Amino acid sequence: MQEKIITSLMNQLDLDRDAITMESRFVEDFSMDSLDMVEMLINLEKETGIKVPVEEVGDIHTVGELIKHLEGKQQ
Amino acid sequence: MLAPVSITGIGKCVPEKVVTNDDLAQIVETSDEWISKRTGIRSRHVAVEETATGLAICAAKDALAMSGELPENVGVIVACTITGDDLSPSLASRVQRALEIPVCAAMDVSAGCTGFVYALVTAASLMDTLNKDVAIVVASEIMTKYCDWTDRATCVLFGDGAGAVVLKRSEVAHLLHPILSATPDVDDVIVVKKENRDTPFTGPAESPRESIRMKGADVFTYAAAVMETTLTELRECCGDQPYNKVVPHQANEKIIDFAVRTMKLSRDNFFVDIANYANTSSASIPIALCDALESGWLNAGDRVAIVGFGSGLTSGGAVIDWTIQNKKENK
Repeated sequence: MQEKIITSLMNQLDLDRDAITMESRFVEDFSMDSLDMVEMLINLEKETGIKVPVEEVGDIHTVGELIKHLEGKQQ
Repeated sequence: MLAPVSITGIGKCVPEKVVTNDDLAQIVETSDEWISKRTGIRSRHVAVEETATGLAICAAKDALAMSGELPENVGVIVACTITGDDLSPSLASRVQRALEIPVCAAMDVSAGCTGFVYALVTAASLMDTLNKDVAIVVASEIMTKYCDWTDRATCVLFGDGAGAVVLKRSEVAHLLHPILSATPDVDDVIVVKKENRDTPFTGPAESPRESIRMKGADVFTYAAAVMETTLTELRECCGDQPYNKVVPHQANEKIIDFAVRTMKLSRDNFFVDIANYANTSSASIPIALCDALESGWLNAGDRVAIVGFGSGLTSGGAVIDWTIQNKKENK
């Protein structure tokens, strides 16, 4: 799960692997806006099969929090 | 069935007034950086004296002039608009009168921002059904009259303009693989309500002025999905002669960038002019085709996919084997 999310972010944001940590913040570190977040969720659904409505990520700010959220939905 | 046609003329017309993002920052709380980063838009043309009818006539005249066709040869006019000046007669009928086309089939279609694709396919179908040799397809929108100019999330997104093409019956089909689709907009993702009017039998009309209402995240999700499915279907239809260029509806640069990544194509394969026009709804594709030709990006021999999406929720696409030589190539 973790690698899928990181690979997806690398492709979408054209980032190196080293630039993405569990503490990376979507808005502050990657300058992502609301549409970038929607695109990220579309890509993640394709990769993992897990659908996450955009309303669910309002309180998710970091890569680590997103992974935890997706792992929770997977179970 | 579609008649075998080629596009033999193209034209566009936009209002004279250009409003930049900095200009908008004087009206609502926004900035050039905020708008351009999120949408790719830098400026838009805004109608002051111009009308949807006037812009449509201007674009159609230019397209007809380029085609070299006489008005009496035109057998079909299909116009598309969601912001027409009159409920009746149709925009197509207004264009017919202005271009002094004596007798033809004339009608409007409404399919939101997908309108041009629907109109193009409808015109080619009518040419087959009615056995006509020449058609005008014109899209014209004054979107800025329907913006809520206090809502910074939507008023920055739209602009005004018109584009038109002339279709001519040809021996070989150059308009190929039409796709028209719609799925119910159960969540009212994009809505522009018509002004309510009261009668002696109703109460007083509520909300006398309605504006474009849009749920951005839902629109993006829908647009991203249909861009991918439509372009994939068109690619499959093309077989071993794939399209080499894409002219998408210009709603938001992020949607186009998503399609670039998803389709694993180069950004150079996509024509993007949203920076200069913003979203002109159904007029965006013909305006982009016109700019693509004028800039030298598009040329005879190109196989171009057009793809649109909009309220409804509608979507559509087609492949055009482009036959008009650009002027830059001729020099």
